[in-house]
Formats: sequence, C-alpha cells, structure tokens
Amino acid sequence: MSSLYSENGVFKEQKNRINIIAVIVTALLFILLVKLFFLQVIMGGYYYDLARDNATRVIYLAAPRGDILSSDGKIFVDDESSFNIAVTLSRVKNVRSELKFLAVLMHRNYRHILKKVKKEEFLPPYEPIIIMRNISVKQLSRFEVNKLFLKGFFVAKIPIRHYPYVKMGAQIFGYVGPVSSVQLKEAKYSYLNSSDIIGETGLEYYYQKYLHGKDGEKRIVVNSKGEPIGKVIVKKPEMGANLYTTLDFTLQKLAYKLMKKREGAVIAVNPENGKILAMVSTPSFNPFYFSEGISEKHWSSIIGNDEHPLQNKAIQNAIAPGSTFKAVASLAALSLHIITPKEKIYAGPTFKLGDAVFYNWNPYQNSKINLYKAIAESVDTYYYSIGVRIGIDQLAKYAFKLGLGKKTGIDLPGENPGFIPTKRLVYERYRRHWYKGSTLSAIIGQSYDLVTPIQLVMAYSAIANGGKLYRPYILEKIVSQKGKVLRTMKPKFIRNIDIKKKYLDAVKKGLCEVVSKSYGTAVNARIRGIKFCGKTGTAQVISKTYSIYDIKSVPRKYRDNAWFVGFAPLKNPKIAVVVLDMHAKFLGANAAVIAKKIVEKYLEQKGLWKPSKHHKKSKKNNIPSFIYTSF
Amino acid sequence: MKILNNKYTQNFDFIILFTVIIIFSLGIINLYGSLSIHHKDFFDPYVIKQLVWFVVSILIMALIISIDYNTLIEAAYYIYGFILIFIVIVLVKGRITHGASRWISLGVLSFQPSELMKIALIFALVKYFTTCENKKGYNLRSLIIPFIMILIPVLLIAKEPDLGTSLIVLFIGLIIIFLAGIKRNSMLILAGIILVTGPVLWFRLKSYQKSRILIFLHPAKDYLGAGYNIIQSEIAVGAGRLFGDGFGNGSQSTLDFLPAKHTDFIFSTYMQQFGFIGGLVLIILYFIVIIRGFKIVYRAKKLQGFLLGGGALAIITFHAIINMFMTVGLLPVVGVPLPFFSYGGTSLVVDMSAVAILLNISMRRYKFQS
Repeated sequence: MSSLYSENGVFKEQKNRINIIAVIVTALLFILLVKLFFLQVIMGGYYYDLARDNATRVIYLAAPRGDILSSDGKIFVDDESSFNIAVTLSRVKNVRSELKFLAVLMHRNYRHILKKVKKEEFLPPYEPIIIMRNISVKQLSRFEVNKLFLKGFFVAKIPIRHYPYVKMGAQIFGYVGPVSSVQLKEAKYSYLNSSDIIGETGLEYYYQKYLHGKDGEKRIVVNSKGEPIGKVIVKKPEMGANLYTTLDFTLQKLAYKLMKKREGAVIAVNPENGKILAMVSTPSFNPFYFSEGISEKHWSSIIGNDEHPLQNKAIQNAIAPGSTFKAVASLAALSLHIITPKEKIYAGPTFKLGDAVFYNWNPYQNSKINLYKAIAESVDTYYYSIGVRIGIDQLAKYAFKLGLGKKTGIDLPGENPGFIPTKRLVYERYRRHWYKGSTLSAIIGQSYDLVTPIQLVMAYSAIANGGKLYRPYILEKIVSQKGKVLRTMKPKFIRNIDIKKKYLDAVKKGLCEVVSKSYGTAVNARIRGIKFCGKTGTAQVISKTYSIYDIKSVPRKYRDNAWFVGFAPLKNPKIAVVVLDMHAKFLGANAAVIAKKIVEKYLEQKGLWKPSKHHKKSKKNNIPSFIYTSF
Repeated sequence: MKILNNKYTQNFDFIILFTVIIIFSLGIINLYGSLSIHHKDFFDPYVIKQLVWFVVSILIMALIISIDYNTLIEAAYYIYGFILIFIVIVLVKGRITHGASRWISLGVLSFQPSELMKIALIFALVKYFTTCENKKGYNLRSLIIPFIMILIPVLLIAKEPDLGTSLIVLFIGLIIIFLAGIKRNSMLILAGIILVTGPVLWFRLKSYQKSRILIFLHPAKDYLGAGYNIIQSEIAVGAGRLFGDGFGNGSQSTLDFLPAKHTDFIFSTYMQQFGFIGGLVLIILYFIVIIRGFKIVYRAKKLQGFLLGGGALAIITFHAIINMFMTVGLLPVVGVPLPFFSYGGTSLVVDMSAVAILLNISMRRYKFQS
C-alpha cells in the first residue's frame, strides 16, 4: 500500500476501517438480539419457573400416619407427638460453640451431634435440621430454661410411630423408617418427599398408600441468603386413614402372651370366611427402633438372632408339616378308593420297602386299625402302607386342592409359597429323580413337603367348613379421618376343594378323636363340652433313628418343630387355629394346649363356652418331661 | 460567546444527546424497580447518588464541549500523566491496606482513576499520531511509543487487579492504532504476537480470573460457586419472557439473587422487568447512539477529530456490547458497566465525556467547511 490517503488529501483507508468496525458492531448487536430471543421467547417458560423456584422455599410438615386397630377399634399402632430439638443453621451465629453448649446441657456427645449436623450440610440453611430426637420431658424443660442462649434452636413436635404393645405383632403390623433415596425414585412413591417415613414391612408396607396422610407444607418467599421475606403460607398436614384389621384384640394379645417365649407362630382364623382373628410370630422385635433409622447396635442384635425375629413365620416360614399332613393323605386315599374309613389295615412298628426300613413313632404299635384310629394315634406305618398305593403325584394333587404349596394371597407382603413335591417339580427344583421311599416320607409330611402355617390353617378351615377354600385376609376396612370408608375387604371364596363330603366328614371324625379319645395325641387339649378337632405334628429338623428322647439332651436347634392345627366346634366351626412351636423350646404345654387356650378364649367371648373352676386349677400342672416325636 | 455561535448549534447532534438522556432515565426507573424489597424508599440513596452523578457529568460534558478539542489534545500528555499518577496512588494504597483498591475518595463521591484513563489514553494517542503523522502507514517499529503509552496503564490497572478495565483500555488503544493506520502486514504480526503471549498470560491470571473464564465455558459446573453469577443472570433474563414481569417485579433482583444487580448485571435486572420487547427498545436506543457516533467520526475532516471520535465511540460501544454479552452468557464475566444505565459515578462520567467528545467534534465541523 502506497498511502493511506487519497490524492485529494482525504484519509481514505482509515474511513474504510471505521466502516468495517461499524459493520462488526451491527452484527454483534444482532447476535445479542438472537440470544435474547432464545433466552426469553424460546426458553422463557423454563427460566420463569427457575426464577420462581429460586424465590420460594417449601418446608414439608409430616402428616401423622393412620392408626392400625383391631376389628373392635382397639389401637395396636398409632402416632404420638415426639419432642425433638431442631436447629436452623442460618439463624445460629457460632454453630460449634452452641452445639457444644447444647451437648453439655443435654448430656449428649458433642461429636455425635456435630456429625448429625454435618450430614445435613448440603441442605439450604433455612431448612431445620433435627439434631436430637424424642427427648424426655426432663430434657425438654432443661432446654426451655436455657432457650435464651440457644438462638436458632427450637423444639419441633413431630409425629412418631407409637407401639402400645411394643413387640406384639411387630411382623404383622410392620415397621416404618425414613424413606430412602432409592424408594423416592420409584413411581409408586411419587407422593413422598425426602423427609417422610415409609412403611417398610407388614401392613405398614402393604397399605402404605392409605396410612400415609397428606403432608402439609410451609411456603416461604426467601431471598438469596435463604432469609424468609414476607408471608408464610401454611398448608396443614392431613392424617392418614385408619386401618381396621380383622384381628380380635383379646385373642391377639393372648396368642402373643402364650408364644412370647417360644419360637414360632400362631394364627387363628374364622374358617367360614378367612378372616384372621389373631396372628403372631415369635420371637418378636421392637419396631420402634426402626422408625428413625435403626442404629447399628440394634440392627446387629436383630439380624444376629438365629430365631429370625424379623420374619413373619406365620406366612414366610415354610417348613415340613409333619403329621398334620396326614389329613391330606387320608383325603387322598379315601377319594382314590384306596381305603374306606372303617377298613382295618395292619400297622406294625416298622414298614419295609425293599431294603429300607421305615419306623413308626410308637415302637409298640402292632395291630390292625381303621382310619379314625390312624389319625387319632397318628400311626405312621398305616400311612406308609397306603402311601405306596397313592403315589407322590396323586398325593400332591390333593395337597394342591387344599391350597398347600401355593400362596394363599393374604394381604401381607412376602408370603412364601412353600413347596409340595411332585416328580416333575422335584426334578425342576432339585434336579433329583423321585424314588419310592420319598413318597413314604412325604405322606407323613416330611422330606420335600414345605408349608406355611397360613396354608395349613386355611386347608384345615376348608376341611372344617365342608370344602370351601377362602383367601385369608387381615384388613377389615380403611376409614379416613373424616369417617369415610375408603376400602372394605370382603371374604373371598377361592374354590370348592372338590372332595366328597363323606370323606371330609370321615377325616373330621378322626381329627376329633385326636383330642377326644384317651389314646389321641392331643388329649391334653380337650375342651369340656366342645368338639375340638385337630391334628398334632412333629416335623424332624434332622433325621433320627430314635423316636423317644429326653428333650433336654438335644441341642435346641436340632429339636423337632411341633405343630398343632385344628378347629372348633365340629359343627358350624367358629375358629381354626394353627400353632407352630419351633424346636420345642420350652417344656410344658405343647402346641395343642396353646391352641386349646385360644379356642377357649374365643368361644368364651362368643358366649359358646364357660370355663369351670376345676378346669382352671388343673391348667398349670400338666408338664410332661418327655414328649413324643412324630405324633 | 463562542458557545452560542449559530454554526455550533447547527452542527450540534441533539439526537445523540436526547437518546443518551432517555437511556439514563430508563436506567433510573430500572434502578427503582430493582431495589431489594427490604428497603424501598422513594429517596433511595442509590437513586439520589446516581442523580447527583448525572448533574456532575452534565457539568463535565458542558466543560468538554465548551473547549475546542484541539486545545484538549494539546494538553493530552499532561492529562495522561496526571491520571497515571492517580493509578499509581491507588495501587500503592491497595498494597498498604492489603486489598484490591480501585477507588479514590473525594468526600461523598469516589471515583476510579482507571476509568478516566480510557479517556486520557485516547487523547494522548491522538496527540502522538497527529504530531508524528505518517501518511504511508505505521509499521511495528514506529508504533513502539504508542505501545508503551498503552501498556503502562494496562499493566498497572491489571495489577490493581481489574482485568476487565485493563483489557478495555488495551482494546481502546489497539482500536486507535488500527484507525490511525497500522500497516496490514504489521497488523498480522501483532495478531500473531497476541496469540503467542495469550497462553503465557493465562498462567499469570489470578485463580478467580481463570475460573471466571472456565465457568463461562461450563457455567453449570459450579452452580453455587463461580457459575452462580452467570446462571442467575441468565435466569433473570429468561424469566422476563416476551413482555417482562413488570416494573418492580423482577424477583431475581428484588430478592437479591442477582449479584451486582445495580452495576454489572443491571441489564439482567432490566430484562426481567421489561422482557424481550423492553430489551429491543434499549438495544435500538444504543444502536442510535452508536450509529450517530459513527456518522460523526466518518464525517470528521481532520485526523484529530477522526481518531478522537473513534476512540470515544469505542469506549461507549465496548462498554455496551461487552456488558450485554456478559449478562446473557456470550462472554465471560468481567466487571464492565452498561453505559448511562448502570449505577456508578465514574463510569457515567466517562461515558458522558465520550459523548461530549463526539458532540464537540460534530459541533466544530464547520471550521473545516468551506
């Protein structure tokens, strides 16, 4: 370039350059407009919501959960207010020194409290953090007196689960706990927020949707520091609906009292409709420990217990039914015309199949007996001889008809389907081929047979009521706090078990003789004036060649499981009961006696039976030091 | 009475002056609307102070307009030296008090000498280029003195530390060199030097300065930290939508979510209240000022007027574009006020002085008319 100037002395090049700049500036302003259009017109709604979220803060107010009640309205589980100390960090000047002061005041560990605060540090500073839960009245008054020195700290009243009967029925009612981040992501829990508690097991879990109320909220307009500005809008929380169970309050309490020190389960049910009258599983646990997130100490003590307190043994524990299965075997044999009730068959002390020898529980057995006596005395060899003629698949067919080996469909979570062997199922499950000897074990409820107490009691209910199989249920109705019935459960008839009435009557007669005849295995469960029918059972935990033994000499976990399942009265049965006393933990009244006491109580309540003075006295003094296996 | 000379008034660009006053008035309204809901006084100290500064800047404008710009150019080196001394004073004061210091206090009002340096530098460079005029264009060697004149204040201001102002001073200097007639191949070499020294400078930056630039690239990375400003600003702008939330309803500013809502982020405050339509109006107003400015510069008959006007226009344009670009996320966050609109005395005086310089040039065009 020779010159910046044109010939007439005008600075031409410079003017070109200013033009270039003008064009660039115009282009930049245009780009700005495009960006503004994008932000405000295209994305405007999105940013508008963001700005609104910026300015409003929501603090959730937990709604009390609904109560869990007995059918007659007595409270099993409810909510109470707990006093908790909370802190709003944005209002505290020196967090550490004030926490130290609080710790000294309340006799708590400072580090422990500090850890709790630190855990919640990601929360916005206006949100209260609960640092001490469920404080005592004494602590509360100490706090109130020193309130002046604790700015930013306050007492928060929070509803908390309350268990008036502590451990009773804990597995059935279930426990609650703080909702986890995983649960929050589930679609079915979309109504929950992070500070909520949630039903984790049992009815608390199954009917969570109803028990959980509507959380309230505090809406606060805040500035960027989280300081509240202007009005606070409060929406009050609404308590959840009340759950009326089918449980009979007195019966439930009695059942737990009887089972408290044992390991096992009891279910009482109305055989005419499947209503659960009582259900307990023991040993139990204190569900309160879970409601705020269980501590390591409590958790390991519950989990470390080999009697599995968390398991609801009534529906989750599938074990060998033992001789209670003989009712099924009898019905199968009768229906298949292998025997008639009165037909006498020889039953000896042993039964030989090929080289294998199968023993009777009573080594002195050596006579021809009919079905009634076989049931009443629980004669194993009688069943061995019909077992070889029935075959495993036919036997299973009748077990299935009675609802064994399948979920009953009770409205509680985690039901175990159990297992009833057929040749095919055993191969599918265990990759084993069937051999005939197993049929003999299966017919007396051993080997592969696994049933839950609930299946057993429903099967016996079907026998008792003349062949109607019902679905058991534990929820009577759900009633909102305003008194509106949100849901009622009606008895659900599943099917007729398709076994002739005369065969059912024959088996029922045998079951009655179990209690009524002097040689019956449950003679100690006799109820004066009531036809109480049932069947004992003892399921081996390990196989033994001896059949009578001193219970004290055997380690507890190898002791047999004792069963009793029965119903009363014979005509128009009002109650069916199953008792599972695992590993016969205690000497004394056995499973049948526990069942008897429950039946007595229920019939007494219904005005169908009255205890006599003499009867009451004799209660305590029948503790046998030997019990028999394989009844 | 030279000021009342008929030819002066004939060539006086009233459009620029009125547009600037409209922008300032919008700024005052906006300032009212942005006040925190904590303190809403009619006699708000921010508004009152800004009005006082307006009066001060009008007086300074009158002073600048009344003096022939050629006279001012004569005094350029003195002005330049004077401001430079102030910058050094600020720097030393900052060293003693161990803090960033950009201000010199004059009783009630305080001002930033670094802002005034923008004007002083233009005058000094114009004086240099008009006394050593080179009609064939400048190569790099002949530009050593102007470069020194630019780099001294740039480095001092960067030390304060005020990277934003420092860069703007640098750009204004470069614009003048560009307009004065740097040779094209020298321009390329200069660009090359800047490209090479860029990465070296990166390591000289303070960590917060680095993070501002990194965050500009990924604002969401540090939502509550360094990315907070730009995200809150974009929320404010976007929330305005087409028609705005209305006067006084910009929640981002009234609830103090926006940092520097009166100064650097005043544009976001305005955008939430008045929306895209309001933004369009404001940008058109700036466009009018800038285009009128270009016209004045383009029509200047002598190099003095041309370069001086170009520099003055560069100040206004840079401020406006950088500020608006930054608030919508098109540029990293640097502390640059929006001309005539942001709260702040010194910047108002500087931008008004730039306008006064343009008016001065347009008004005295008659001298060269035949």
